[in-house]
Amino acid sequence: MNGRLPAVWHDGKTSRSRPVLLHVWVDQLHIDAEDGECVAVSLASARLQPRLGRTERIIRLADGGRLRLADAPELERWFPYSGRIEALAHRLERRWSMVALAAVLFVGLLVGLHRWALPAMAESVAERLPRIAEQAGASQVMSLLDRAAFSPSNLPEPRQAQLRAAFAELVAELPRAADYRLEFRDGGDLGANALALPDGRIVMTDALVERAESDDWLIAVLAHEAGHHEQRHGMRLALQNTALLVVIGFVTGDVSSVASVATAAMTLVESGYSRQFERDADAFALDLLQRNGISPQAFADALRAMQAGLPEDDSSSAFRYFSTHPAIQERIETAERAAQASTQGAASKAD
Amino acid sequence: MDMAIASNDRSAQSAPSVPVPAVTRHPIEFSASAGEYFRIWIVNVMLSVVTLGIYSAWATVRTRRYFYANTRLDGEPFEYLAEPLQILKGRLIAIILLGSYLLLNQFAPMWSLAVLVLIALLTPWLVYSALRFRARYSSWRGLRFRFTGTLGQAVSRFLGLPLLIIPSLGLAYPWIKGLQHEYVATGHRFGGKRFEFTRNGGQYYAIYIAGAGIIIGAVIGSAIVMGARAISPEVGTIGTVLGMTLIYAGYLIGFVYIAVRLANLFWVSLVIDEHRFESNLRARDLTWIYFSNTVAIIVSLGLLIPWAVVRSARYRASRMALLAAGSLDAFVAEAGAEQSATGAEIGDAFDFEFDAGL
Repeated sequence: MNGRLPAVWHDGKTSRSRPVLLHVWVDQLHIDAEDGECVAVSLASARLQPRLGRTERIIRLADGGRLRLADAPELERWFPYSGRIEALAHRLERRWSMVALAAVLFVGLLVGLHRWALPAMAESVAERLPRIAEQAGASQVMSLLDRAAFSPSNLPEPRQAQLRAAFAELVAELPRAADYRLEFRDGGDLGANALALPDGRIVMTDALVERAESDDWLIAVLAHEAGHHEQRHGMRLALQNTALLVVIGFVTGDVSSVASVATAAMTLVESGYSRQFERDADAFALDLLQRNGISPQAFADALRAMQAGLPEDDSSSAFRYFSTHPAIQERIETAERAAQASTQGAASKAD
Repeated sequence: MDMAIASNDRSAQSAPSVPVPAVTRHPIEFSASAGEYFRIWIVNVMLSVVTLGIYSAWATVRTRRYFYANTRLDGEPFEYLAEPLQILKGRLIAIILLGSYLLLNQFAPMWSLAVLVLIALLTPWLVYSALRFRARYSSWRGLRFRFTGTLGQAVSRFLGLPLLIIPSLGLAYPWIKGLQHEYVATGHRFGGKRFEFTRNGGQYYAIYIAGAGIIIGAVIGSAIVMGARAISPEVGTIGTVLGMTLIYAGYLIGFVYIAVRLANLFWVSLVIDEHRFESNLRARDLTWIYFSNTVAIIVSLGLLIPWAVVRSARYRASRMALLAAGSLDAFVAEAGAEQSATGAEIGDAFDFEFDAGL
């Protein structure tokens, strides 16, 4: 009633853009064009777009027309019920304290998800998953590997049986003892390696068996792989990475121009997770070895032999190895500390 | 401001020389600010978290409205018209599909192939409905864009023709890319005016050959460094790092180069009623922007995302312009008159945007 607001009117049918003056009189929005044309529409039929930063306000008319104008206090009186959800968003955006709080919560949320929530969630889901979930995935991975990377083992059958027996003795007391199966393959380019599949299958390459100077080294490596299975690392890593992808996608969402960030962040966080699992499996292995009367030194020696074997390979595989296992020196030292502690412990017991 | 059409853009040279009246260059004006968008973005993210993702549909609408409203041509802002509920509906379906793919991919890699095949079969329909949705809910000067390309054509260009890529050893790919551009461009209308596209198949080949050249050059360079390392051990770790850097840089620059040249080619090949477009994006600028954005975002734990987004949008806008042949007012008036004759399209049951928002 009071002020007249200058606006630009598009009628939605023609593209004329006409300067107009707006005012409200008895629930009618009056649009007075400079050329003399006057239109009145009921306020209830028009809709005011919610505020957004410092952008102009837009009133959409029922006939497809629209009015564009600078923000003014009158508008909230004329259209008291427009876009309540977005009005709340705008109130939050306008207050620096809220924005700062949101930023702190955002960083806290990311760190919390990364450090605790995702790992805890993955762990509790992995424990509840039925065996069949582990078996289905593992069989498929195994048949893919057999086709792409592995060929049948050349180790003599008695040697395989001997190692299987030693492994069975090692894991006999573990809660998931019934799951284990040790298999041998010619790993080709994979070199000296061992891997655990989620269903308890452990695959060891011929090269690893041939390179080992004592069977204790192999038992130490198997103890490490058993650690992966006992603690369900395969499943947990799969769950964690899936959830992580969703989180990162959610944060960078809607933004194709920063798509490269998602990949880089995924790589960084994922390798962090796998490093953590390697450390956990190491700790498990050292403990298991000691309980079976094998010195953790065997594990340190095996690691050192693998480390020494590496730089001679082509450098791209060395790079990949170091990105998931960068702390190999640290792992060797941890194992040797454990070995020293156990010999001292044994010595003091003997006293 | 009068000027010759895109004087310094190599890819514009093929533009047919139509007798042009005075050409007016209308730059794209971009006024979004990183600080303002930061507030919008952080509130969007936190409200989406609190509502377990439901609010993300409102967040999308708010983000798009903000960027549209801050992008002006000839003094008039663009406007984004879609409603959050339309976004939400498509997003739920997209999330279910994507989630099943992700889970299968981790737990049963072979079954996830089935979902991939399903997504591949759906691609033409996804492209088609996304183009229609985006066009219908975008407007300028009160007139909506529309997309009138057919689903049948989408099937042939996004599913049928791509089957030729493997038997042709990839040689058909640049040609198909040109046809896909043509489909996207010629399907669009502004008011009653249709966009036309002067496709030059040879230029698509030139772009992919040059892009492949960059990548192959980097691979060869890296192979030389690695070779030197094998012969003389003192090159050592530095040689390895240099070789790996070369490969990664080569891939990044090669892919950005292809994307940039394709975008430029698309825009300069576009004609609407004798008006043309100028697009001078440069691969070296965007490589730097992408690289520095990635580093800034990771170091800031994501807080610099809004800055990065505004920065790349501002760069893109600064490199684009409409080259209007004659009066823009007269053109827009005609476009409006022809639209009211054909009548605006009505949305159907599939009037939603299929987009996971991820």
